[in-house]
Amino acid sequence: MIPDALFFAVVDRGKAGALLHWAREKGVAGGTIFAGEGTNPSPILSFLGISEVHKEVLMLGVTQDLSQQLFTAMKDEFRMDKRYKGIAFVVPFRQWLPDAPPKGEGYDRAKQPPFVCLITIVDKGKGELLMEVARKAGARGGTIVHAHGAGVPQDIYFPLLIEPQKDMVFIVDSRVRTQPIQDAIYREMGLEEQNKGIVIALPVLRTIGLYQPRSAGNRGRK
Amino acid sequence: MSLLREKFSEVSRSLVPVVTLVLLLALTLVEVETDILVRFIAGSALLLVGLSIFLLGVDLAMNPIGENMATELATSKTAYKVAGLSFLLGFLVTVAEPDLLILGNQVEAASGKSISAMMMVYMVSMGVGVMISFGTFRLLSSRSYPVFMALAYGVIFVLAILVSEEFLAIAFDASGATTGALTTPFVLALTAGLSRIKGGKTAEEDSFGMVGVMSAGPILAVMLMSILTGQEHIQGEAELFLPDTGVLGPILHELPKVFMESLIALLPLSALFFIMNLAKFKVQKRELGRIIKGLLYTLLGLAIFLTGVYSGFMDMGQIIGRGIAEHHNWLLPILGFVMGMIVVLVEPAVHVLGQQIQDATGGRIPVKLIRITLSIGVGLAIAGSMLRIMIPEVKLWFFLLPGFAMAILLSFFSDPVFVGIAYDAGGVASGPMTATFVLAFAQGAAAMTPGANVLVDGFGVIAMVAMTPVLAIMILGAVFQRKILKGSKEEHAMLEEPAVTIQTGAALGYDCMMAVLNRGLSQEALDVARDAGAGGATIIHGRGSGGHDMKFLSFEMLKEKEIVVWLIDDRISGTIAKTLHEKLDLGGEGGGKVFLVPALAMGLKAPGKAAEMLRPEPAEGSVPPGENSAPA
Repeated sequence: MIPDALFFAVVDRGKAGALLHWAREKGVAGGTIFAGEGTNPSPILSFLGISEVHKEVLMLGVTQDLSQQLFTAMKDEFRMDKRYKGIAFVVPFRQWLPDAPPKGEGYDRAKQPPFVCLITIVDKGKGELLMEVARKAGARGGTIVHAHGAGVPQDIYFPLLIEPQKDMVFIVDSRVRTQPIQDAIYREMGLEEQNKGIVIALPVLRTIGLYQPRSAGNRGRK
Repeated sequence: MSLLREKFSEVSRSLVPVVTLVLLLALTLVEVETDILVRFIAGSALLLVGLSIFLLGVDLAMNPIGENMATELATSKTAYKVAGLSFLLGFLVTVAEPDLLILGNQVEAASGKSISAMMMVYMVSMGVGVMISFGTFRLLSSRSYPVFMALAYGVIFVLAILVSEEFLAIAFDASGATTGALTTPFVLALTAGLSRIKGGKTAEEDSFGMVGVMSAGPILAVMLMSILTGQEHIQGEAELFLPDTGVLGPILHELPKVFMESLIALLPLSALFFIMNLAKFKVQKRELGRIIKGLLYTLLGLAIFLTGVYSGFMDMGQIIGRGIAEHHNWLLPILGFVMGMIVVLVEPAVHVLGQQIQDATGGRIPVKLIRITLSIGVGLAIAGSMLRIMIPEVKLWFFLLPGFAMAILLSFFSDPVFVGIAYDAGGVASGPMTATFVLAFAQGAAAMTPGANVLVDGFGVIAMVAMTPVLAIMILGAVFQRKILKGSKEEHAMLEEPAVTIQTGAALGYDCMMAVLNRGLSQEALDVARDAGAGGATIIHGRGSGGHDMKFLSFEMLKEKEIVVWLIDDRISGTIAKTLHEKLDLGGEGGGKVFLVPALAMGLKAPGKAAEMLRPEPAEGSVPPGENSAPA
């Protein structure tokens, strides 16, 4: 089967390896793991400067069938339906590989997905500020990944291409809820200016591990 | 899991074996007074709390400070500034190291005042500064690391012929004293920062090796000093051993003293950072606040940790060493091996190095594997030291010369990342735990063994600990290298996958293109994509598997990967993906994949359009708690 969806799982650091191993036994061809950081909104921890939580992100190319199986397993074996056990979600994609018959329809853009994954890329160090902005706009969590841009030659002694360091922030929520978050990020992080960063929204078909504040109407703002 | 809990469980996992072993010995083979036993347990508790807080502080403060300094170094416009600043950094982190002053005083006393303590401290600090300076130039100008280290140790070998065995031991001991609890984490952070800024294909191996470079500095400095002053022999006996009595007394006595020592050790570097922050870095307020908190944690943690070690572990080490040497002499090498193995895992720098391996290699190299190898190395070092104490004919250089010679030879056939880690491991392993607990154990054993010289044999222990981990990890790296070469051949045959092209949809906006590539290919991918019409991109560093299994012992090895993310007009994204696939040979050499995800909206230039596309539908309101699913 040709994979047609990207399965993402955000779990505690050190657990993604086991997850990948397990997924491969289920027939997933391969996967990629990278390190991320979650944030804990507790004011005490953030006063102490230790609000950071180490996470790992696992990315698997899967078929729709397989992703159903994975979700069941996330629930049964990795207890993701419980709070603070991590989240998983699926993004549809079109993988490009050579010499293949064209598949008539791509992903239907017009269909509105139930969830959205917001990816924001900003300069390093601004990820946490961004999370604060997002939280105020109703976000319930996010994962910061350290990344870097392409090397830029500069006028320095060593002939080095200095790679600008970036923070990449992933926020997943229902489509309705992400819209104000996206707007807030766009406005408050000053993204309309050039070279300040970008925010992208990707469609998400299914999630597990997301939580709703106890009373449904309340957005959980503090 | 919160950060503090993570550190706490990491430290306790490494501490439990040590406590178990000591209690076992204290209850069976060795007679230990109750107050010392109780103090050991209290000391362990202090160690656990202190080390956890300390490691947290290193994360919060040392890493950003190291990174800022590294940026300053790498972006210098003149060579003088690079040389000056790197020398200053090396000098400042070393000069305030309390262990170094203690060693200086010992040498001053043992040499009959012909070498003063302060002269020793300054010489060693200058040695470190010079080596860090050379090391920085080496790294930034991409010269071969194995050759550099071979040259450094070549000089050491030549000088070693000219100095006496005592000074050989003191030289290595000085190197152990400088790679203390504070310096090693800082130098590791500095190196990580340098490699991150330099980037490119060698970023992974560039993240290691500076601790190894730095530890050559003191060795050279002390040997030169011995040759220049004509001082050859030292005499003297170690102080008479008198264990402290009571439980709380010694702890309360140590705490303020250790606190001041830690403060002094931390001060020069912090001062330099704050001055440079005012003048140059100007880090954001939030970040600065965190660095200050981190420095406080570092100070507090270090003071508590060292108090626990000094008051709880020193006497215990002596007593166990004496007890075993007196009644069960033959047990010494075996016990030394076990003790070296488990004690080294409590070293602060070992935890920091583990974290760095995790970060720099994207988790490709299992930290556990490095720890086990390091453990075995140190175990062998202590066992060898015990043999040396028991049999006076066995000289220190019997171990050091062939050990280092073999390590240097192997460094040319080893996986490059392992070479850096290996040279670092020597400095990392000889930290405060080895310098107190293990050393006290060895001194205790020497005191009860006829024919052994407490002072000389004691000094030699650190030298052994500085050598064996280097060799052990180098051997691991050589084995690893063979494995990888074999593994990549198998991989080629397996990457022939079925393939599909999917037509691009209607031109509604942009595609998010993600390419998962082998490490080092991202720059090429960026160039190819740019030529084909793509814009800028962001690169994440990770690890992954692509249908091939690579196992080493029972550890699963994943390949290092880079994930490159572009945002591309979806009318040309298919073509770009195709170009990438062909130009980079992703089916074969490149070992990668390209994914295209349609972006729903994005705030690149058209906020109005982005907002429009995401208007909520009135029917959709709440999300059911727990598993959220919807028909695809």
